[in-house]
Amino acid sequence: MNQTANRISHQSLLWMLIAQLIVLLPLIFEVPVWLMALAVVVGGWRWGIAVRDWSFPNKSVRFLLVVVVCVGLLLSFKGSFGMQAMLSLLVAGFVLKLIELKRPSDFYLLGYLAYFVTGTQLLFAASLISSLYGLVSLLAVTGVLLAINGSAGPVTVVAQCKRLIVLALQALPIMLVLFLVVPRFGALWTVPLNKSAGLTGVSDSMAPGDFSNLMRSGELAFRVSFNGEIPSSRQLYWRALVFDAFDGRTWSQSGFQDVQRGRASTQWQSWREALTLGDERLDYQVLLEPTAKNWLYVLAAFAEVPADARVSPGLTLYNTRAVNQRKQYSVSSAFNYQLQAEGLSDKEREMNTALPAEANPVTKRLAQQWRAEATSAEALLERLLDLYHQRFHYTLQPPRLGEHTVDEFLWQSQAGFCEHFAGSFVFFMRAAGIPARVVVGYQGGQINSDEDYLVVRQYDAHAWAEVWLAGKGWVRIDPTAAVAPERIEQGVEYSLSEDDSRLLGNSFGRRFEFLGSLQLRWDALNYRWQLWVMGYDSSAQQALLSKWFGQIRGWQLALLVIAVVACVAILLLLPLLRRHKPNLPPAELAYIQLCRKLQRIGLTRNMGEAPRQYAARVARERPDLSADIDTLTALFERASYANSAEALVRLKDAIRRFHPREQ
Amino acid sequence: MTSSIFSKRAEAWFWRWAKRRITPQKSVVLRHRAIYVLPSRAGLGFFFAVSLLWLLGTNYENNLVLAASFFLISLFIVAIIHAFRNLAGLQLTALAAVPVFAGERLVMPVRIQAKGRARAGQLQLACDTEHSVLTDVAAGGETQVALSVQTLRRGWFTPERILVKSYFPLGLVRTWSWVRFDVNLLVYPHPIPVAAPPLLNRSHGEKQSLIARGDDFEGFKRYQPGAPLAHIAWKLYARGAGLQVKQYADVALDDLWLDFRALSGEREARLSGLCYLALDWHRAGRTFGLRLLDHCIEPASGQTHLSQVLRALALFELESTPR
Repeated sequence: MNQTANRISHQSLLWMLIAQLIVLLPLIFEVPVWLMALAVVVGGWRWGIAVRDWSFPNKSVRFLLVVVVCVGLLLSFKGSFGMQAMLSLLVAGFVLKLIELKRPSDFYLLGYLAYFVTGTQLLFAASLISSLYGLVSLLAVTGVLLAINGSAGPVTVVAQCKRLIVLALQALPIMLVLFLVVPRFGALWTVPLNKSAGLTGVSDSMAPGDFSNLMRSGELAFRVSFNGEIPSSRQLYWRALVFDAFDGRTWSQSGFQDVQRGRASTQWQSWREALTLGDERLDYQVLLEPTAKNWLYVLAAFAEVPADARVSPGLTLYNTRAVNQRKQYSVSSAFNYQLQAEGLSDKEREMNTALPAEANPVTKRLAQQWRAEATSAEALLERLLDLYHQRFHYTLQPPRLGEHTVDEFLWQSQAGFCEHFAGSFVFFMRAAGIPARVVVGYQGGQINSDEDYLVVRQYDAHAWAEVWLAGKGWVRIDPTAAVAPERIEQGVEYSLSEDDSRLLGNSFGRRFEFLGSLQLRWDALNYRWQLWVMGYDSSAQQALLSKWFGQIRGWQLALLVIAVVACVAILLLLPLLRRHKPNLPPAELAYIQLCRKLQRIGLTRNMGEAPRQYAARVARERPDLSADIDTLTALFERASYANSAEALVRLKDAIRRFHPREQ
Repeated sequence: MTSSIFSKRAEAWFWRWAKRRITPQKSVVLRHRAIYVLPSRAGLGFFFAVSLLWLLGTNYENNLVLAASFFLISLFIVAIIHAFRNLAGLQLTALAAVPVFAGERLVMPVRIQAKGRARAGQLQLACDTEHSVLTDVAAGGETQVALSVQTLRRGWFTPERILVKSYFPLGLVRTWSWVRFDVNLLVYPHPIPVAAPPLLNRSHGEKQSLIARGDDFEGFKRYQPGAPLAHIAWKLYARGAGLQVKQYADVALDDLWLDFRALSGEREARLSGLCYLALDWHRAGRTFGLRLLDHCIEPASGQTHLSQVLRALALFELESTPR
């Protein structure tokens, strides 16, 4: 072929390099740093080839580069092949292809790779800002295509950007309708996102120190919108997991509770029978951040279960798949409930009173002594809580505990936070022969008054206890509330000393008015984005479409898409359809108007017929119009040939008032 | 075998069909009837990439990735409309071309106007696969390009369909149109050197003199347009005597004749030889006439005369008026 078609302009290359930079920049935390450095070097090299006449690398250099990158990737990921490794491989291919960039086809290939890399970047971050950034990336890559094909000559950057934005704006309505109506099929096969390492959140065991790590994180856990009043903080216990096994140091789920590892049945069929619910219901929607875990967070006892959730034997909710993407679910809960009030099975009773044989002898002895002294289980409870209230204090920096953690905590250090209180309380109860278990999740949250929803962050993580009392079933007891009631009523940041507060992750926003309100506003915007855009799944789609169109079928939706495309097309092609207005002097234009009026009553002017001839013919056929047509023709002649401005005005006026009727 | 025959037939059928749709004109406005839009290879690749992106979004149930794939599909659709708009309404006019000799490439100037429409970006025009030109047309403006096409034979040359194509705006779709111009371009015979036959300078057969070198200088004559430039007395001109032409005795006396019958060989070879001699003598500034079988041009000299002679040679025993 010829030369012109295959030449790559410097401008296109520059676009490519800039687009590459924009696309790779957000991945800086996802792929190894050396790969980014390589991208910069290779980009610089390619630019040098273009402007400084450096040479393309020969075969052996290219081979060496590929080997170096492969070895580097192997070393960086040590054989683990998750999403991040895949992404790095993609980026490596992307970077290596850049050095070979010669023909337009290479540009297209690289551009498409860049589109895909942008897509994977959107997978990792879905906030409002990163979504906008993703749009910019897509536009930058499209800019490369436009630079190659948009024009033969050089174009200014401003003009190029303008064209790009015009294209994008025209594409927008079509994109919106596609987004709204194209059906969502759900995952076709499961792929782990391999992001669990970076995620903080409640884990499926509780060892000393676990919660203090969580509390250092101000990361978002989930957000909740309530249908109705937001309940008081004292009621907001977000249950996630029930720990009923203790090995002397760590609380975890027994085989009976552990749904995640498949040891417990995923569906507790009889939970409805075991549960007696009060009449009052509270409906709410939770938007859960990705956790890479299965469990969901719910209040108290739920009346209805979301479609793809299962109930565990501890009355917690499990999602059928790990929550790798933001998940939205609706729950209806009741605060007044009785769980297993009829009694526990022997197996359950045994499990919920089991303790390791050697651990914490002092506590065991005292518990039995107190049990003997107490008139009832309730009295024992009161006595222990009273002890907490009198003697313990709340701190995020508890002293280290030795071998018998509960003994040391209860009778010596007496300082700690939720995990210590809950753990020791349950241990004591079990030692006294009362079935008890630890429940973990979050407690409280911050109300965003702008949008009226609740924000729960990692530092709201909490652990509390449940004891089984005859006739009442499982009852929630929070020993932390006995020690630091302000933790439960206002939030963790109000319950800490100045020194401890500094440990709390990023809670300054909650304490400083101005920054706090900014943070809240921004979060509100993000929440809305998550709720409406990210949370638009097939059920939301059905709800919206039936609200707008009622019952609508697939082919009608297809028609809708076609209609929008047609609208855009017509708007774009309108200038072509419009008849080209001839560039005539005003007198002639006026005369054409006159001819049109006469044409309407059947007196069409022939091709090349002189005005006089035409006037004579009109007068012959319609004698009633002869006076008018003569005057008008005379005026036209004066306006046109004598260039009389006055005649032109009179001509226009006369034509406006000329209304010939058909006979 | 059969498939190639079939594809050839199909191709022939296609061209007949395409040809019917485009009537040759002096000036052509590209209309929707004659504009074709199909995805390019890059467009198919784009489609594949978007499908992958859609799959990624679907599988991870990520609305943002899905939105990205929908955005790219929408861009594709908008690009199709823009691609069509890029060609629609362009007016192409063939301008007068300078005749060439058979076997040379003919340069055909074409004016492209974008009257009353937006700019046209990256148009690619080609007469044949050898050569194409790339150009933009500003909104409402016009531009002129020089197409080049290979000529084979002398006579009237009507260029086959001209391909106007574009990958505007994103390279994802190929938009094209075929234009046939109702123009006839003159192609002279291919000049082949021959020795001038000895009888060639005899005007009426009685004079027996050999071809004179024509160096018997006779005097000066006032320059008249068409006189050979080689004969202009530049020295006199420099002295301010105006343009004077040197007169040579033999030129005035013995007119040379290009005679079809004086050469041997087949018709085309003779014409090529005559063509060569005409050019040679013109360069030498001689006066000569042309005698073909049915046609005669009186001796004269100058550019106009040469053109006349070459035209007569080009159209010898062909239709003198274009089809």
